[in-house]
Amino acid sequence: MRVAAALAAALAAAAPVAALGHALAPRYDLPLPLWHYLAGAAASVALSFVVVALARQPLRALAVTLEVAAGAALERAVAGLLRALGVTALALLLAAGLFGPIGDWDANLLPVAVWVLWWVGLGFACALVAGLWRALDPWQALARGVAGRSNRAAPGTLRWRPPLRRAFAGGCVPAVLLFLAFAWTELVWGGNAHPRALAVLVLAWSALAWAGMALMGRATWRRRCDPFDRFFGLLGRLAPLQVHRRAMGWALVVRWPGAALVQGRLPSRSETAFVIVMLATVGFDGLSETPAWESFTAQALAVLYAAGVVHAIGYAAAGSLVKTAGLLLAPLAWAGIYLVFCALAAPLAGEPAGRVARRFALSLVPIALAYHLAHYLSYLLIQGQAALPALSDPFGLGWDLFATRGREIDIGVIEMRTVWAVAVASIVVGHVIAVVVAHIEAQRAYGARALRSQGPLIVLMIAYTAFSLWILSQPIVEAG
Amino acid sequence: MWDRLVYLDTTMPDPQSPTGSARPNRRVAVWRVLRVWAWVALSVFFGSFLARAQATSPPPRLIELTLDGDRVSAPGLVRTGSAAPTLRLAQGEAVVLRWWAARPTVLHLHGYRLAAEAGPGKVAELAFTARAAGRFAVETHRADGRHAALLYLEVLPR
Repeated sequence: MRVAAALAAALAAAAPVAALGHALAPRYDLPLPLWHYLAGAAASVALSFVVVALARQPLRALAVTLEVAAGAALERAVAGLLRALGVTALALLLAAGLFGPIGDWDANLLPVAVWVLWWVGLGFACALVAGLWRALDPWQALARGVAGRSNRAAPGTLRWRPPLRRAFAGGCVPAVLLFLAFAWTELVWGGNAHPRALAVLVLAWSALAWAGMALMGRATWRRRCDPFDRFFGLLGRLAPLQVHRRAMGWALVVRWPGAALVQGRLPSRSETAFVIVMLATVGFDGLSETPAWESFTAQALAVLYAAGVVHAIGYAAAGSLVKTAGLLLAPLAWAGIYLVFCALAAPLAGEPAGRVARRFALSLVPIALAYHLAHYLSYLLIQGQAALPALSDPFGLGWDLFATRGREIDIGVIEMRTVWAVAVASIVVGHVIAVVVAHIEAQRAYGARALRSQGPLIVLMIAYTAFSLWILSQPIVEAG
Repeated sequence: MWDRLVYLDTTMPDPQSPTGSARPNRRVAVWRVLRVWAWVALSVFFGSFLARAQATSPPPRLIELTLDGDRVSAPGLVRTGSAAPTLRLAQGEAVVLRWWAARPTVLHLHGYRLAAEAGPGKVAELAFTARAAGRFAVETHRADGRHAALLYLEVLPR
């Protein structure tokens, strides 16, 4: 009863704490200096030509597979340990969110862990080391445990068979929509740093995920509906390492970053849409912090004010409305631009524009990820520090478990010049990976026509990279 | 000078010296070495104090800002296309931001974690040394609890 009352109070009180998407940062990055911007752009253009020149010989995505023999018992133990880690983290975070302290954005463990450590930090780990999320996923792990128990329970009794195992066959439309909804909670929702409200959101997500798994089965839920498995899985394809579980032990794959983006199977329309939504939300996240977007919002609010909307719902809600419209329009704009370039490439490739679009969507992921890394590196290193004191006393009871209680955030933990260097380097490297991946895919699919087909796509990639650099060169402003 | 020291440091008696041993000479040489090192140590010791005193000796730069509603005006502000202007500082610089406001306003400087209250008859001062480079927001709290950026400080790396 007390819990229900606390939840109701939490939802009512959700508004006053400001969003943690990027707002209220202790420190923002300084705009990228002009010469970094120019050097990054020039290097991207020059290296694109180098790749084109080298591409006269067939390029190959290199990967080395190492078989690691390990006993089945050890293998089960490690997998079980990772699942237990995920489940423990979920339980601790929910408890901290529901019963822990309420205050500024850094007072409670839950918002910091969700937005900084999990969404940004785990994303980086997946992209730079190995796709880890599937091994940690607590929702899948708990459902697996329940399913295993019920299957073992009584041989004679009726076994649950998910009735909708074939739902959404061949596509992942629910994953696209759920990803957009999640992006809204990250970028627009004003209550996303409020521990109670965020805990209620996590509980709602858990209920949805388990209901979906019960109805469709865990595999169908994962493939068709789960946006996080898909997102972290896409990032994991960039990683230089991958672990396959084999019957006896593991196979460790060591490969070029991005090698797994070259794939035999053409992605379906909805899988392509997921990639486009992902790229667009990453871009919109940065765009919504530029002065250009701020002045656009001011004009839109003036229009809404004249129409009487601001009077009816207030400035805060009207601001959210503008941002929501932006978040929904960004994927459409992105898809439109992408399809125009694919239509230009289609006659050169000898393939319909739709197939070209599906073929090369994945090759743009490295550019988006490179920008994401450049944009969020100092965010992770600075805001992430807030987890240390929160972890020592997750429930606000005066504990000091790790002797980090009351530790203040060091805003100088990474020098601005280091951030700039990492930003430009990662953007150039991401661009080169994208161009190479697209080239390998084109050579695989089109053979002799590969080189010609790449013209429009390389122009698009250079424009996309320049757009990333432009956002980084803009002074960050807080929205509304 | 080093030749002589090496020569004097040998334990063999000096055949050229008229009488007695080389002991007094060696003592003189050791004393000379010690004296040189003592001077070096002393000058480093006091020099560091002097340097530190010189580093902190310039008084903090005073920047006077006027707050009219949400509009900030001060000499040297940069407009970057945003509603809130930008004030540029150099990393390591000591500054005092003195705020004159027509109505009561609570000011927060994020990152450096400073707060002050300005208003009629109350001059707010945010004094700090800009040790970390980056972009920092000076915000006020609105009646509805939301934060609004009034000014951005850009601390440029040296």
